[in-house]
Amino acid sequence: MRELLRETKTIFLKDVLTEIRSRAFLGTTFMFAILVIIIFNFAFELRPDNTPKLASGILWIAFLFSGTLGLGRSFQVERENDCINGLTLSPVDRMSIYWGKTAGNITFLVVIQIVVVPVFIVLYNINVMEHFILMTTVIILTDFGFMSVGTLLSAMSANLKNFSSLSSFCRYLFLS
Amino acid sequence: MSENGIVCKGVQKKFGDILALKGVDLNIEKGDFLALFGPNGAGKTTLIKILCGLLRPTAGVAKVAGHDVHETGIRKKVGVISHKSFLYDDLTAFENLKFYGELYGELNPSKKADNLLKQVELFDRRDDRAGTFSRGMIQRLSIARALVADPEFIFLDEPFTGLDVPSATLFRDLLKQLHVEGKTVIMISHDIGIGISVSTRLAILNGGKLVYDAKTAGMTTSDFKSIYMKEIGL
Repeated sequence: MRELLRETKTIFLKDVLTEIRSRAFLGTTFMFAILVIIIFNFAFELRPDNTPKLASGILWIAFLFSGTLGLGRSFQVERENDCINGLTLSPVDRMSIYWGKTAGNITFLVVIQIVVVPVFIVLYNINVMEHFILMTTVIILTDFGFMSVGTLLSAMSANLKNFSSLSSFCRYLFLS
Repeated sequence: MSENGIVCKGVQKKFGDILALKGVDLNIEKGDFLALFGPNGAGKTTLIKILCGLLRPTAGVAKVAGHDVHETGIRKKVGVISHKSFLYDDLTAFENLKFYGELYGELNPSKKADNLLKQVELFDRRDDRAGTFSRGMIQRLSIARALVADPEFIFLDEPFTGLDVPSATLFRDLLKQLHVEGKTVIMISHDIGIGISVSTRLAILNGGKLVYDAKTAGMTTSDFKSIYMKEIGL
């Protein structure tokens, strides 16, 4: 167990460091999430009576689609120079590779949400303070569920030619 | 049959309808240095991938030190240099080696990384990102990465590709040193001269079959070139 945690931490820290340098996950997904929120803000005729119903759906679309985009990028880093083979050839438990990558992906999605949610609140004029703790709990739990399934499917399809589209399809299938 | 070395018995590998390896039998004693030659598509890389555990054979058995190559324990004893570097472009040379050192459970990965960087003469580029390195430097860093756990078995797939003359000389000396240290090495090469200069055994793979396997001692480059041409049907 101790060894598993140590290996997971090593892979997680490596992912954080490469992300800080490359912004492979955050760079693409952040802009995408913001764009989704802005586009839907103009696309729908939002009124005080329908905004609360529509807004939650829009927020989840932004999170899930940008998360999917980020998952693809997350494994793109491992495909470059066949680093995924470097990981699988090392004597680490496969579980630690999975949990290290999952922890990294959850962290990056949470970072995006920390920025996107305030923008969302301003644009849609939603009062989230009333249910802030509940909303935060739901978001974190969903992030965990989404990224746990998403990372597994991305890893399984990482060596396939059309891996991005296939893993996205399977991910939504599992989530639904 | 060597329980401490590398053993292949009837190893076959099929990719769809293509039989890349047609029952390879190979027995490499501990401390042997095998230079493996063959034309493109002969199955050399496939064999190395099976031996290091990246591929599973369709039929037959591949064992390293008496263990199945897919066992976690054996992976620590194996170092691989492939066509690709397995290095992260966004990490520095030091960070890459330290990361792999940590994965392989090195007690002091930072010290190990620094020592290896000195060994492959990249210490002055320690804090530069791998993505900024030339092909030759990447190859040297890959060598350091493969040696991070001080492996007993080293598999090299065309390691001299892209190396300039000083780097090739440095690498050849490093290989000789590894052999002196008792490492068991399999090296795929297209350079007969280099293969003969570092190896203790020579083998030729053609069309998925091992068609030649003999000791290097006494073999000259021109003699082996003739054998090679004959064995691949030229």
